[in-house]
Amino acid sequence: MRLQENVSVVQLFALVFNFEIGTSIVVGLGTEAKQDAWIAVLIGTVLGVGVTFFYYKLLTFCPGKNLFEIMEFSFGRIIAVGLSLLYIGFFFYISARISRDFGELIATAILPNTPIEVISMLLMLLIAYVLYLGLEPLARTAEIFSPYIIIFIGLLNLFLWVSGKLKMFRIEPVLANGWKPIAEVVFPDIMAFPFGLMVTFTTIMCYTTKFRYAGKVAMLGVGAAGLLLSYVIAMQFMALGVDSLARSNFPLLNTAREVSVAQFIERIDAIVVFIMMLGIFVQCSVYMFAGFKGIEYVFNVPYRSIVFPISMLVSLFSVMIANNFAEHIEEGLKYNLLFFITPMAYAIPPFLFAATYIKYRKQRKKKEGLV
Amino acid sequence: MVTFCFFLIFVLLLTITTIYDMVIYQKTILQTLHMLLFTYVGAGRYIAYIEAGIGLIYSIIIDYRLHQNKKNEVNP
Repeated sequence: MRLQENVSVVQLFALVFNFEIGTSIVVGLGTEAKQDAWIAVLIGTVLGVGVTFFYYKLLTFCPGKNLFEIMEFSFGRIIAVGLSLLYIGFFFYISARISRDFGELIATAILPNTPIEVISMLLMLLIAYVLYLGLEPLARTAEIFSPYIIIFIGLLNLFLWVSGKLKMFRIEPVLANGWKPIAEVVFPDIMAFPFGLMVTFTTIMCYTTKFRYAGKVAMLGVGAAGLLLSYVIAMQFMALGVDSLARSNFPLLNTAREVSVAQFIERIDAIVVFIMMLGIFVQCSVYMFAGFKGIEYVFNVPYRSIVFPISMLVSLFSVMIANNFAEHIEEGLKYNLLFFITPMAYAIPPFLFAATYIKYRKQRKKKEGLV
Repeated sequence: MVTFCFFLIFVLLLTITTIYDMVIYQKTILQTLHMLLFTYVGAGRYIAYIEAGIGLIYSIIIDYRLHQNKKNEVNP
């Protein structure tokens, strides 16, 4: 039996906010632009809000339908199934990558002797359990824990100021090399990851209880997450400087290790790991949910019956995708962004949008003619 | 259907991973597949294989249950 998923607008905001923060806060964003990375993220955020509006507009042509059902409406069942399989592979592959990020983070920061496979399995079991219960428990989790992210980042900022580790001169001079490095980071890097990945929400926004507000709320979520990311990146540069940050695998973790208030408040890594864990958990769950919805559409089976087996498969691939962290980052940031995320986020949706719009117009004219 | 879906997702993910590794390591498809599936198999990788194996067994059980339910619906 298929259960109807429902999320409130506040929950949608929390999901989008956590989704955008996700792994961006773990591995850093736009660091190639050096001390101007925060500007690149701000520009990316503005464009990301526009991209989110585009995806929302696509959904308004067929209210109540998700990405896969819209593809069927526009292209017919056969093409829709082919494209859906592509998106299903995409969503699960990205989930595996995110799960790997999580494994690497935990193995580095908290549990150095635990095999990464076990960490990945535990994350996937948790995600499988939450998704088995439905989208609503996931959204509620995000809703409850989101304020903690803001509070913890605020605390981290406060502790860094008090410790005297934040130096403004480290983000100066602004625009030392002009706009070119920023433009190179925004296109395609930041536009693909994390903002292009809002395509995933075309499988979730349609379940919002007040759909007419879904677009505005999602845009607000992207804007808020982008502002926070931009601020966090500026903070990282102010604390670590360009060279230290370039050598760091997990910049926010290294930033937190700089905190030392009166030689009493130190090693607040746990706070940062919590922020990262929540973001990764929500992001990975959203991709998995999108993938499951695709399977539900293609095979016409309730997605709950396949949650556990596929989660275990994703756990296996989170280990198989790369032999070490360097390869994982190389594949993720160099090849995956350019050859997989960009086409899936920006090549297919415009065609889908055009086809859906034409069909929508035709149907409307037909209806008006009948009236 | 669940088992078929499991294999299909396995093939999809393996294809994507293989393509990436072929590009990065400049190797043939067979070499890449061998490298992915067998070369780096250590104690940790066995844990991951066992997880996937449990997932496969679980999907077979679900398929069997679905089949039984259908049978019961036809012949109550």
